[in-house]
Amino acid sequence: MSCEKINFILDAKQSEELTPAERQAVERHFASCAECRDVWGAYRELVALSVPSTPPDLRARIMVTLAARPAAAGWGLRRSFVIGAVLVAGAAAATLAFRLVDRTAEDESRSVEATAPAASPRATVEPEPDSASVAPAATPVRVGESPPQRAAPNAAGYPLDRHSVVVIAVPDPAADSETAAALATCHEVVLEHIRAVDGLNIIAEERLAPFAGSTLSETEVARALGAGSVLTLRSAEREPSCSARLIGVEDVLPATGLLVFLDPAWTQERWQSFAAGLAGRVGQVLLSDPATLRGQAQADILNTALSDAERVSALPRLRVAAPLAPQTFDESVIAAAIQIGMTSRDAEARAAVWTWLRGVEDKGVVPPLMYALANDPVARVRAQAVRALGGFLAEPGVREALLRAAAEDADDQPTVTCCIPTVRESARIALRGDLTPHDAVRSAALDESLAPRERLLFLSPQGLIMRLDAFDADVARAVFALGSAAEDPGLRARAWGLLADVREPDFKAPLIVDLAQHPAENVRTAAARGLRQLRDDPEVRAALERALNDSSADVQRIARASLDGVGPGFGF
Amino acid sequence: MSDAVRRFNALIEPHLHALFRAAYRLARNRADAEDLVQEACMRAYGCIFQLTDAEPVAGWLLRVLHNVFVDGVRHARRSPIVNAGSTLIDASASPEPNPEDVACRTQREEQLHGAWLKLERGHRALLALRAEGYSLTEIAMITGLEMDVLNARLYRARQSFARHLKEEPVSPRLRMEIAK
Repeated sequence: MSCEKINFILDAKQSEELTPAERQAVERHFASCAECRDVWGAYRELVALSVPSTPPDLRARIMVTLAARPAAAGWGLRRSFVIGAVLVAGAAAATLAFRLVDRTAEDESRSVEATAPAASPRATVEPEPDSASVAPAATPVRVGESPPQRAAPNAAGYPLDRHSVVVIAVPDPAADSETAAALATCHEVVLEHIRAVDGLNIIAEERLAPFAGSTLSETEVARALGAGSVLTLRSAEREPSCSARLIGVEDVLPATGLLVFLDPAWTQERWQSFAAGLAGRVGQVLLSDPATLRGQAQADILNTALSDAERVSALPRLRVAAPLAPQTFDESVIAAAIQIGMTSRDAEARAAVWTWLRGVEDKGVVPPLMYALANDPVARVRAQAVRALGGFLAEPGVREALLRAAAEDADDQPTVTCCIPTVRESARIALRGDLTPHDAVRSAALDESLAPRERLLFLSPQGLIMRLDAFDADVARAVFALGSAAEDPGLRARAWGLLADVREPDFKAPLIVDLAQHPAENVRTAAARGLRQLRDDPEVRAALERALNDSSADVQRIARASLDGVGPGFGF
Repeated sequence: MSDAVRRFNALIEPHLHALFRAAYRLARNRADAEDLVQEACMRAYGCIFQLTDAEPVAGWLLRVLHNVFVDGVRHARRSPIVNAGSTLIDASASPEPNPEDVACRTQREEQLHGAWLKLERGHRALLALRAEGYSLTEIAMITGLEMDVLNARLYRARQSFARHLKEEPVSPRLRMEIAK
């Protein structure tokens, strides 16, 4: 009998379970094969090692530890938001990101989702990948180069351990070597730091090898491994960069947070700082309850020993409890934030301060905002200041300052087609700040004197916060027309995503075509989302089912969610 | 007593013994085994309300334990489990018939422990679970490995263990015992 056969028999059964014939065959083989004899002899010695009885006080000690631990359940819904918000904080901590402004603006839209009155029962948060900020996931998860294997299912339906985090780097196959190297470094450094977070259980590298080449999504991989969270690392398209996204596996559409940075002068020290910040945030999200997070955030912003970026990163964490409500930061927090906004040499920190002070009712922020709008040399800082001023149109001089900025600010050419407003556009958006959000959105969407881009900016989560089904049919038709005319993939995706809350069969044709064949992944994803309300239509259903085989995991995931009728519309 | 603690008592406590045995097989010393069990219980407590009475709690707990061990939460904190130089004989192991046997077995056990500690954690986990009597199907469920991958890894784990055991130095005392 061959070694293989012997191993098969011995693997399948414990030695006492062998039949007499099997036992004889094994003994005969052992007599002639020294290697098998050694291997199995060693193993049997191992099996024979004694195991002591369970210590009688073990249970008591566990109970003492449990008693000191906060309640086990009760904030699951909230957590999906916390993940988003806190990772944004991570972005600010890492600071560098020249795209931080876009990120913070977009992430604010996600915070909106968590509290939007008409949101679906799950407080899910899903950013729209757009060409400006998120690397498209052009391929399914690939952890290595081995041939595909079927993944082990979570067949027993066990609850997932949310402290177990699968960390996956998803390389872009089209990336150049510099981009690939940046992602590899990111992966390595993040793993080093996140593994040091006490209480988190990190699943990565060789433990993911069985899924190499698998077409499973990240969350399916995590589910198969019993992990409740996934941290994915990607590079932005054709850029040396690293974005991190933490996903709660149990959410139908994952809660996400995102970091993007792009900096050719990235040093080892900055990598370390980035990874440490990220690991800390992930640890906080998964291990702390919201009250603890808030306390830590308050302490952080007041801590002058930290860098400006680190201090500002505390602001979004303070908004976690009620991102849309008028903000009630302590005076000390507002004072600290203003001081950073006025004096920091770090433009990203200044921009982030004004972003996160939006919604604050304290009129003391108006003079610093006016000063920043008039004097800050960096456009994205002025754009954030101007948006925050939209909440104070009744204050003396504010409206005039916004009108001046809308007409005269040096920043009037968008650098990214979708959807980062220039300072002039931001001022025009802010000038509608005294309308109700509903009226502001409606008036902008129907205002044909505005450029299509600006009309969609209003309707996007970066503008005002409304679901499209909160408006009359004219607004939906305007969005549809804007999307149909848009050649820019980002704008087109914006429009299609907005339609997710609208049930209008006349809109389906271009969405079905885009879902099947648009070259841009974000447009296909948005089309899948936009067809959600029409999922009972056989033609739409067939299109969504075909999209389950799309080459993009994101498109597949959103198509599945739309077929099931779950998930938010376009980020809100 | 809170609901969570009540549920913990009802659902998890009955499996503490099995959990400790598996943990001991993994760690090969009592203190680390207790830590592993405690950590797994903390995790389980974190989602105690998601468990229903009908679910196979034991398997799930073992998976949590396995993850804790393999992925090294403890490894980050302190790492006696990989401290190959230490002597990890448990003084409370089953009663021994006579001192000579004890001495002999302890020496051999030291070798076994030495070889054990040189195995990578994933291999240790598979061998420990198998040695504890879990079936391949159960181990596949616990580890999330495909059956064919599991078979291959178990095989490699056994080979590595045998190789390490061969390379493990024999102490003078054991050589004397063998000579006798």
